[in-house]
Amino acid sequence: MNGQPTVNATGRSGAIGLRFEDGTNSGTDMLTGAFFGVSIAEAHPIVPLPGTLFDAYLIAGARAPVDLLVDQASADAALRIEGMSTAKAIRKAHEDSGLTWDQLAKVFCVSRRSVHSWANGARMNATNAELLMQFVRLLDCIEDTSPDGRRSALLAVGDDGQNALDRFRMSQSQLRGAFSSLPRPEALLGVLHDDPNE
Amino acid sequence: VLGWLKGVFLPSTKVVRFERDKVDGRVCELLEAFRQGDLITGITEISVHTQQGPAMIETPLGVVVISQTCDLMRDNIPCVNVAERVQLSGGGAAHARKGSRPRYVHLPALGENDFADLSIAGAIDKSLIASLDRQPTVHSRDEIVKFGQAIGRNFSRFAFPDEISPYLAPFSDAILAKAGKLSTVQGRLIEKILQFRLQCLGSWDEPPFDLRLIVILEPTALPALPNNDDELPPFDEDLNSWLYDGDGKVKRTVQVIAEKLEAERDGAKLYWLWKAMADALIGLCKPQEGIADMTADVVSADEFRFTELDRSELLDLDYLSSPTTDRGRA
Repeated sequence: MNGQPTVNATGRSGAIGLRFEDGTNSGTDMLTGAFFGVSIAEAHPIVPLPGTLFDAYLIAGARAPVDLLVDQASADAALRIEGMSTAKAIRKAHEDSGLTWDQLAKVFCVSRRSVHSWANGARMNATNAELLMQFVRLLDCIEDTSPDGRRSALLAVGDDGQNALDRFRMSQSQLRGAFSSLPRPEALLGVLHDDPNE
Repeated sequence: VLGWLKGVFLPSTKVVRFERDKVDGRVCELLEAFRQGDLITGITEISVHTQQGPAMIETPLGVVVISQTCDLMRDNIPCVNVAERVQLSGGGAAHARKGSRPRYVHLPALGENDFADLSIAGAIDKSLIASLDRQPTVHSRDEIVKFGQAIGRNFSRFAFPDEISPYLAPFSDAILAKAGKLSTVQGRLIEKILQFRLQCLGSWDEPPFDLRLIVILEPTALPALPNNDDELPPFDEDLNSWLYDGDGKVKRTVQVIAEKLEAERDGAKLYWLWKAMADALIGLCKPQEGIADMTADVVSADEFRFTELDRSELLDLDYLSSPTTDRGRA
């Protein structure tokens, strides 16, 4: 299978698939390329996760790192915690992920105190509730269901220097385009980038 | 040369063209003594352009340098930006000193009622400025930094969508009604608030907006968090049921919560009382088309993340309050 995958959102459940330039859909094939700007390690077999065929993909081979390809446009992700309060869901995410409150807070780009207040019943915006659901889905995708195993999978650094947790954050609107308006030192110094392709 | 330059800025029937030549080195040397915030009393008019052509605004109290200090000495920047010095009185001056009127920047060395009005500003040729006397209006490092920040703040405020201002007006009015009134409990608590910031979870491009108000407190306003991953202090059940109803809506007024908050000495309860007060304040805002929701978060300044700073915008309450609110404007 050759070429860069493109997003192929399928259905209102927020499921996604990958369609390659040759027109084939990804399955248990070999996946190379990039998604949401996140490099996917070469020659890692991918396996569809439980649920719909193109729901999400786990890069297998080694147990970790895990790369989840999440559809940001998931409109009804809240259904994933149907019957569960936000407070209970955030506590469950905290316990199941093995992450600290501080690490979990980074998922939402909020302070540790904020995420802890949600866990104690404070109201959460619908957008963050949806993000929580996406994160729960991420946890569902990790084969090792122990908190330690999940934490290891989330925090293991891949070949690109990022871990799955960071990739998840970058794929979400919370960090998408972040700092784009911030004048960085190179801009303040008037530095012009050279073209790496030249 | 001076006379020729004055022709540009002083009443004249003839308008001359200003040549943006490189600034003479001797002028730059003279300007080394000048600083941002300097009062220049020798400039008594600033030019404006009208439909009828160039006109002049009188600045009898002089003008204040708002250009950055380092730019004053650069020979490739031909002009110095200045703003009119004005005097405000009463509540208007008090709010301006507090910073709730971004248009006005306080000039502490001149007195309580002296400000630079950034809405009346102009460009003055450097050689003219260099020939005039200067009088510093800011002295300490704190005053100098505040002055510079106030200028940046005025010109870089985020343009919130039209829906935001009327929606937040009751909140802004409630804050501004108590801000600076240190004889009141709310006034004293507001003193501990460093900033209100507003985050739109999603895009500001089009409604509905899912909003998150971030209340940033002085570092000492909340007890320090444990360094490890211990569970944070839980929400005391009695306090929870006293503050919120079964639907999670705050059921006490801002004043009642403020009184309890100020009297509270249990560090574990302080956060929840601050949170409830923020919830009560945003509860004053009425549902409005274009606003999906708004929640409030309280955070200590030393816990506030840089990512949150990037994703949120500073709220200038002066521009969000009801236009009919009388706050003693000059």
